[in-house]
Amino acid sequence: MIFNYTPAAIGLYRGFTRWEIGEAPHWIGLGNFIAMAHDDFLRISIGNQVLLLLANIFKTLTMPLLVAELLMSLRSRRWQQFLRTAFIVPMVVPAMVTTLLWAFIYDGSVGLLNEALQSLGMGGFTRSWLGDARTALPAIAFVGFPWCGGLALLIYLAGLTGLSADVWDSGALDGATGWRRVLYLDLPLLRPQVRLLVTLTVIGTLQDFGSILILTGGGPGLATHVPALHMYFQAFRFGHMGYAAAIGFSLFVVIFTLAFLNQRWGRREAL
Amino acid sequence: MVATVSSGYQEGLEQLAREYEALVPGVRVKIQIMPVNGYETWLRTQIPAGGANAPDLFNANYAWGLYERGLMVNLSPYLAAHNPHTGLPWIRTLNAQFLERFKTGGDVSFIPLDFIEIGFYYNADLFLRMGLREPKTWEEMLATAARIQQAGIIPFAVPGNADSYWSGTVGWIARFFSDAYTRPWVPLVMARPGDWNYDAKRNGHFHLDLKDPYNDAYVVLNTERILAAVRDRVIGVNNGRFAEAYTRIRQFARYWQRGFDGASSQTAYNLFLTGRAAILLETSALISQLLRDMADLPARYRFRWSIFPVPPMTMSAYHIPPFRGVGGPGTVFGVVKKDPAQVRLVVDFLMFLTTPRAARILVDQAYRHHKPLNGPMLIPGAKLPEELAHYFRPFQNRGFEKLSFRGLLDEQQSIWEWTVWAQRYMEDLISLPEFLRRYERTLLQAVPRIIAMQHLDMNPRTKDLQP
Repeated sequence: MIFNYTPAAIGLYRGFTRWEIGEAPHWIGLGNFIAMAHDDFLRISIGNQVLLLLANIFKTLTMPLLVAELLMSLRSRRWQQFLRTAFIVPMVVPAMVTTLLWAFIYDGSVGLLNEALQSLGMGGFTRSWLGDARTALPAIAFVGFPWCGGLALLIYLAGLTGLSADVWDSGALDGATGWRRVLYLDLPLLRPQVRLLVTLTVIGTLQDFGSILILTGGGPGLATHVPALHMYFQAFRFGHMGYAAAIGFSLFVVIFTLAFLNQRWGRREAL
Repeated sequence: MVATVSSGYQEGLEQLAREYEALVPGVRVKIQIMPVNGYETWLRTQIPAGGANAPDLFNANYAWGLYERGLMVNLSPYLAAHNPHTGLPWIRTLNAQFLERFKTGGDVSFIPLDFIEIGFYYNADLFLRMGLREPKTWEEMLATAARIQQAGIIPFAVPGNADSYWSGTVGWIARFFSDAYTRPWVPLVMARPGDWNYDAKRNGHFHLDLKDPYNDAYVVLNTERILAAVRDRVIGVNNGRFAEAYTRIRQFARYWQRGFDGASSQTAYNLFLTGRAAILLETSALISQLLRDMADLPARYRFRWSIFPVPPMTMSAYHIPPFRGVGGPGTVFGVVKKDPAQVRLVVDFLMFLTTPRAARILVDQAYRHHKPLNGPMLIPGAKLPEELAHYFRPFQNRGFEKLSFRGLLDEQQSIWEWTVWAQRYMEDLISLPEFLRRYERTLLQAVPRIIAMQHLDMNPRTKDLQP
């Protein structure tokens, strides 16, 4: 309680103050929140964030589920276990290493992707993936391809393993095999897992700015700028701690609301 | 605690710390070497928070603005004091010119150990093969670049990511250009008789001389006059001068590697080191690293290299003076405000650290351990080994920027906003007029922020600095 809620409560209070780094905070009521409404940079960052969030939800809902289904369909238990372990092991690689690896892949001058395109005779497609405003945001969304996150895979596998074999057997009698089974049986029954993963993705995406800070610093221009990065800049580069606290509090409200709605939606569906 | 970034002086600092502990019983000196990434954030959080985790002495070249916020000690009163470690007044073993040049609001807020400067590193073997010579003018440099490009080699390796705009190569380019184009504005914003920081010796007889790079070196500017001039649009960036400056920067960018946007300084360095690029704009701190990396390369990949200073531009509608340096003090030590007894002790250690003998130890240890040095030492009596001194020569005697614009007065938010607009302009996403209009707006919006941050009353006759 002390370590989680006290800083959050202080942060909430400071969001209502003019607090420059190194100075005492002064109460300004809704001043920071009104400033947020007029902050063009923040507005643009919200647009980028929405696109990244949709991309991340898509990534969470597709590839890990597909891999989980393929693993479950394997007849050989040994192969199933081996491949499951193979997919989970990369989770131990620190996220920072993965980010730096992708920075190298995307490098416009000596990057792996451009070198590969050159060697395939597709030099016309080479570009500065992270330095071009048209490709920077898609490139960040593409990071982690083929997007088979270990945690999401584990959650889907746990969900599929927990399904009763009777359900599949009776479904098979009605012709629900292969893709039809996935669509009409597995997906509806995996709703709790999907809900959990969407919640985790929303939280993770809205809070994360570290990878963007390393890959692009929010640039070029504002092409990859997101609200959490805006908060970080305001706090630790510009020294506007009160304004940053207000952005942080707003992010908390947005995350909480989306998570709440997601859970509510799931509960209604279940009724 | 002494905190600095991944310093070439680590071994020297450790040796001097142990010597000081032996000299002053009961004192323990902890040297904390920090990675560059995160150092600024660490300073900006630990120093305001105070307490034991905040350093006592720190390299202040990564977090400007802390003195203005009242978090650092004014070292001016100590300069004339007797330095017990030399038996001389402290100022006698410091570079007085640098102290004067880089005062903060009339106060000495840090002591520089060395200075850092930028220059063009070039592949001398390639130049020889192509029959090229060191360019003497900006236009000649671009013509040289065109020939290199025609030969299928990248003329300039330039990092173009956000860091480069904020505090690296593209930022330096913007700074030396804006310094050259704004030099005639210095008389408009310098302190005048009656201003709190007016110094008759320095400002009283000042006459602008664009031919002399040191002409305005000691002129005292008045922050409130600068802010008022920007606010009242007496000076600004949405004008012909800056239009020409940024047009020239765009022309220069034609010779940078394809895909420079988003490239890191490491990428640019790799392009140069592998011979794919002919020229690299870098700081004097690269010399030691390049010597080491070149020696590590297999013999067939090594090449001879040299350095030329940023050459002057000869064709302009504005009689532009030669470009000046954008460097300045490299390793600079500032003292954090703590209780008076602690401050006295820390200043005494700083005096110990800035004796000619200590400076020699720092240089010798760095050279012995193949560690990088920023540039020549600013402590009289400390000489560099001849090999390094040779490479450092092109960085000297060029003067330093005065009224450069990249944001306003180093206010970080305005620098970031400039980065945003400049990246969009360089990428052709906004036109030059649009860029200048937005840049001007950024400056105007920065004025009230700076006034609030520095607690200014906008009366140049009163000193408003925080106690």
